Amino acid sequence: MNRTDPNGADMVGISAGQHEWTVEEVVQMRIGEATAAETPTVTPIPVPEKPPGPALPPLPKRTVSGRYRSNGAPFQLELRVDVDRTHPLGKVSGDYYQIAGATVTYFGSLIVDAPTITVTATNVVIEGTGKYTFTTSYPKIRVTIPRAFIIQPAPPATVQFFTLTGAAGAVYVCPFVSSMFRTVLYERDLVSDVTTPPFSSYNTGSLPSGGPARVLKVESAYAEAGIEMQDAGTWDTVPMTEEGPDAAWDNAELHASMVKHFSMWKDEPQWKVWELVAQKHVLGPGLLGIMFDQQGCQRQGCAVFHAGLGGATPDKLRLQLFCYVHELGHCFNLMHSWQKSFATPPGTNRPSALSWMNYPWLYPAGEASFWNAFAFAFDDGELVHVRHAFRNNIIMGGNPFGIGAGMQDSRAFADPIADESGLKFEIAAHKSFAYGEPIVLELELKATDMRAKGVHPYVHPNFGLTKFAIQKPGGQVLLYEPVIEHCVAAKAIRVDAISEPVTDSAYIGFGKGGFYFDQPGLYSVRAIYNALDGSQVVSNLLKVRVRHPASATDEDVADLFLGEEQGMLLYLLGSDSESLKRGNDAFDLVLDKYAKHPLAVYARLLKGINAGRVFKTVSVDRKLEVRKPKHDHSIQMLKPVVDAPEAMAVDRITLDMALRRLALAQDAVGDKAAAAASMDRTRRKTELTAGKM
Amino acid sequence: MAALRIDLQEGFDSDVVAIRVDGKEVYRKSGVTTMLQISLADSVEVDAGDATASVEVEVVSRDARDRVSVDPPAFVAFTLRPDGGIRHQVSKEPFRYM
Repeated sequence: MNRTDPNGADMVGISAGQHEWTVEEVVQMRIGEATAAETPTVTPIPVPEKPPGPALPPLPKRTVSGRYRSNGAPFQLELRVDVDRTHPLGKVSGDYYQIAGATVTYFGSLIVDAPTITVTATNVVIEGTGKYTFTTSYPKIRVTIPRAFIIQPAPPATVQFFTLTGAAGAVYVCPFVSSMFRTVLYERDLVSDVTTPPFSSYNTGSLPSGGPARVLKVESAYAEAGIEMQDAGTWDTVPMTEEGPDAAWDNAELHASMVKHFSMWKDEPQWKVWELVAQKHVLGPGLLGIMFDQQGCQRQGCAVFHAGLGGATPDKLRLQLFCYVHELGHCFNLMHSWQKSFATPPGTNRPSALSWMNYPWLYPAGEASFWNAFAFAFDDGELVHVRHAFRNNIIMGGNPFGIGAGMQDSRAFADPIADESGLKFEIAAHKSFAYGEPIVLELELKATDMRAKGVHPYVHPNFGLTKFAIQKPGGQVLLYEPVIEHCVAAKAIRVDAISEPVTDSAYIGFGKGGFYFDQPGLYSVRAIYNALDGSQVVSNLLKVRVRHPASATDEDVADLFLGEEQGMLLYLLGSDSESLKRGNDAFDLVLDKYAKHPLAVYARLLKGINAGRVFKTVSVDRKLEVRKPKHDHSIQMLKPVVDAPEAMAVDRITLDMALRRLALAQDAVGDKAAAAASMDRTRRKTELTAGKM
Repeated sequence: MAALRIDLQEGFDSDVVAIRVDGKEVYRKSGVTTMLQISLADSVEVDAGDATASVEVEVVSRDARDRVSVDPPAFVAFTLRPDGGIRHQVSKEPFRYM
């Protein structure tokens, strides 16, 4: 099964959920373009004649626009159909979600900009070629929605994909969800020093305007755009002490307040937004509102300031409505009308737009002309965005403000939408690493509830069941590939919330891609543990800083560590191989010339571990040569490793491994007391068994 | 003493900016950058005399400057144009941003 293309032919039948196809429906799907609904190839069932009676007016048919969502696995499609109802844009869009075990992850999005729409008495058929955030061999799409009377329930939309030459791909049956294209939870709070009432509603007929007179709230303004803003409930009061002694807010204070008071805040993409009603910003009374959230997962909060907005006159209420909606528009990643070209990718500036996202006072014909013509709406380009933008370009906490289509293939390591796996996978490391220092992660898998879960213990990347993504300082995302993949037998162990977690340490500095941390800077690392039930448990996002060399010595030592052979030796924890001689010579030079340097501990570690092992080589004349362990040398190398001061110590899990190897060597030379002392220092006391570390 | 509020609006990008009122430096900052979501980089309020004041902005990092005479109280806004020049506006009402 091609799990990277949800439109693929191998998805046929899989995502149809519980739907049972009849032959009529199969025929409907197989009949050719546009006239499919009119030429069924089945024999009609005779219908008895209607008894005579008064003629009834025809019932109107349901509109078909809105949101639909399929069930099933491995992919679900959330479809947005925009062909009728209010201000239809004639588009279809959708978001795919990948279902793996108990986890749901966003996969990608599609949009069909100019589909052909065919309406018959029985069906609405929408066809076109989509644009996708992923590569697909099935870019053509047909959406079929049966017509129903308004008294009937909304029928599901059937979506089928095709190759450019017409070969059939996946079919999704998407039950109707809502007439709204998106739903956002909307929470508002009020600062205690605001002197005027927060905005409630405004009658657009109070003053001249461009559209029909109606009472508008923030929620209804967005509903007219096709977006449901679900009020999260009562307002909380934010104490004015949080704005600092100057009685004005700066952006850092606003962000801190959001994290504290926004009950739905999480540092991840969500369809949830917070709006704070405050009195004044440090930038003065001219600042009426701001989307302040530009750190971490951005665009989750905004603020409006009543020092400039407050009042109960119609013009004040009009401006309040405008500003509240405008700031939320920024949370949806809308830029000002005259600044669309600053977006990535750039759009076309529209300084004359009669839009929520313009400044009325910058309207070319003047502020009064703006208000006289403004219909309290977004312009068409903005409507396309709020209804049909690719998910990460619009969702709060998605792409940063101004950043458009996120085409990079980092979706696999995105936060899941839902995680019911009952597992937590955590990765940790030193706060920072010296340039050239081996990057070692501590890995921990544990259960999050009391019910025991069966898990496999293969958290190390060598086994291929846990994947690691590394984002370099320049933004490039790489998948860590171990030099050697280890095949393992199936094994399951039981963990629960009180049992010992599964732990390991992993050196991910060097792999098939060479050195992954080959420059100073800030990296991000994330891992996915593939659980036995198919769940993909995503780890925390770990920031790893590689420091710049502080001296010429640091640079020299880093150069000695950053060779290909040295990388291989670090990966293998030492080797006698002649093909790695130059790497071994480099580490010998570190121990000889830079013995006191902090990184020398790693040279001792791999030399000590290698010395303590039996090493077999096959000579050119095919003779097996066995080098026996050099226990004394192993002890000489490993003792300083385990006794290194904390500032120069290896991570805890590597330290445990070094202690156990040291104990083996000490035991082998007959120093039982020292071996026992070494074992006592390990976190997990195990029997000292030769070769069983 | 009447107030002068001086806004640095659009076009600033990690610039070093100095503002002088009647020859006296009242503001100097580096890293001045327009926040696209409000089209404003920074704002400063200074006490000016009741007489006409000379307000000068210098974008040190681009060797650009502009000067305007205003009668306090007043609101002055400077925008850095794409061609490197500076445009100013003067108003008796605060400039508004959202």
